Amino acid sequence: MEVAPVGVWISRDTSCERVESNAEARRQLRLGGEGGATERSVWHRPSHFKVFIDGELVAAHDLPLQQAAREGRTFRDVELEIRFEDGSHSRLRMNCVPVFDSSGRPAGMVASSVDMSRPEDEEPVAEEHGAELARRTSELRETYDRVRDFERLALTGTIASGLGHDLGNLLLPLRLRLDALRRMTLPSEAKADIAAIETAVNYLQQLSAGLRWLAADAGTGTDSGSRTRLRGWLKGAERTLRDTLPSGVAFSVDVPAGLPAVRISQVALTHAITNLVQNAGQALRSQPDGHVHLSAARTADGSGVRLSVRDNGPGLDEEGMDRCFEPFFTTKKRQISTGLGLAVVRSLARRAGGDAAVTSASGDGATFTFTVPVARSEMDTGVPVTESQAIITVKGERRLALLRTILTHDGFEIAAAEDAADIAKGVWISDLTAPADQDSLRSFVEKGSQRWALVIGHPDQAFHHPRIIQAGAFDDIPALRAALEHVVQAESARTDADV
Amino acid sequence: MRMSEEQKALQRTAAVVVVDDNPLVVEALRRRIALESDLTMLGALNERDDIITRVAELRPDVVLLDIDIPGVDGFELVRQLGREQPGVRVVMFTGHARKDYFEQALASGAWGFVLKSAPTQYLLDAVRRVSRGEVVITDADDPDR
Repeated sequence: MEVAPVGVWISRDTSCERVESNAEARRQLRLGGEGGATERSVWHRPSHFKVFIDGELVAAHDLPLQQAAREGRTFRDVELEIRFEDGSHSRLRMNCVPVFDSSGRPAGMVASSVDMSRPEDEEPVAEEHGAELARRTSELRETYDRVRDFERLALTGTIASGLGHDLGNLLLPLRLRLDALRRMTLPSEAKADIAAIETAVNYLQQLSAGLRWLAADAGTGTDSGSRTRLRGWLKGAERTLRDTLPSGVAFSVDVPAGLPAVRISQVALTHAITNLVQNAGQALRSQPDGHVHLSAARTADGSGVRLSVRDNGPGLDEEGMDRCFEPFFTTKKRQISTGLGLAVVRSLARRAGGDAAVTSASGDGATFTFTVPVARSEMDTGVPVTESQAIITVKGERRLALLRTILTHDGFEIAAAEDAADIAKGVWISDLTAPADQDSLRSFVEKGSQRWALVIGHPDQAFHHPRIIQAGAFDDIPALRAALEHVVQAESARTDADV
Repeated sequence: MRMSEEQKALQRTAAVVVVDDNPLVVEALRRRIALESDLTMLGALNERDDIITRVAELRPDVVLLDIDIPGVDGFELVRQLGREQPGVRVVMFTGHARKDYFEQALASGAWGFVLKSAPTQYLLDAVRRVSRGEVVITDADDPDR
């Protein structure tokens, strides 16, 4: 069997009592066998060799592998001198990366080792394996980078979920007290003190919000079925975006009509684009002719929409472009940046099924792109879904209020049952409280191909009409939303023959 | 001039009971709500109180209930209040932007779901709107609210 030039060690416990290893790893420590099996680790209690680092004998407990697995530490390019009991010795260069469980606790490690002291007669073999070694090292480096990113996100998620409750509990009374103080007549010195405290609290609030977005990403990683029409969203968001820029920085927008709705909530989109515009503004802070341009266009394959935020600032260097989406990486002063803004932007894009990226030429500004998929309901036809109306006839004040809130949130305009005849496109939601409701619903859906009915709380009743949908139990909100999404999807997927 | 029902509702004072185990939160809410002419805080309860009985005695319009009080199943409490005190509307508030909390809150009969990170004015308005018969939800998809 061909000898692999990189030894690999995997432990699935924090004590490194048992490890899996490959054939090269076993060769490096003269263990024999082909590798792959999990067995008692030689690293746990080395018997036929001793390990020295920088000439110092290292106890098993303090070996990089053990520390990585036990304490979650990362070790890169550590040189181990292995002194075997027969008097011979070798040198291994080792990388150790910890592995964490879902709650962020250390749960093991992955290590690689390269033999730095191969005998000269093996040189030709080493040369033969040179390219392979480079390839595998590169793979290992990529894996390491991925593990490092994952590790950071997992750690962030753990911190966020732990801190979320405590931060919220501490910031809420602080904000309430500050709010109360702001309403009092106070000397100007006290007002200045309060303003300074508010700045600090707002910073913590931003940090907390960023952490929560990242934690939400780690927790779900899925799109929730939200959909946003860009032109409608822009009407509400443009002022906010403009206000985030320093005075003197120009802002222009080019979001053409006819773009399909995208698969992300309005709040998430606002959060992401605000971050990008704010980021651009900060790059232009000391520039007299600063300009930020927001544009949107469908992607080449038609599956998504790409929003671009371009500035004419100093641009990013290579490291900046490589690392700007990493959590806690920032080139700005800490007082204006949490280091989470762009990490959250990428997290939001990926959560929606898209991605964020940056292009920049030094001295020639930067362009950040935020790409999100077209909403599922518009994928087939590309036909934008216009706003629909909704009639709600259900018993119970809370049920009525809840449906009203959900439907408004989802973009429906609420209409009265008396106006049913005037509705071109919409849905009637009923719990069939009155006996005549069933006939009213049937008549409603039959008089227009873009009219739907949603019946709540009558799972056993048969309606025999394709546009009368049963939404199940009233309080099953996910089922209700799924039924509404079905209506919206069906609307846009209809063919001309239906009209 | 006679006031419309809507105007009367807008002018009515909404009475609130806060259920939270954190005295810092409770006292800050008491201080802040006292500054609102249309809101009154009737009292504060925690896990040591018989919450259902005390709510029945205090008869608030709205209960502002922290979901995560140790030893209290917040969702069961909302269901029980719905059965025993149907006139009382519960706004659940929490530091966790969790979708399952959001869905459970609505399924158990809460009139509101608000995150503790929400701006102060949003929290106070949520109490007002719920007392007027609106359902106020901060979708847990939107953890920034």
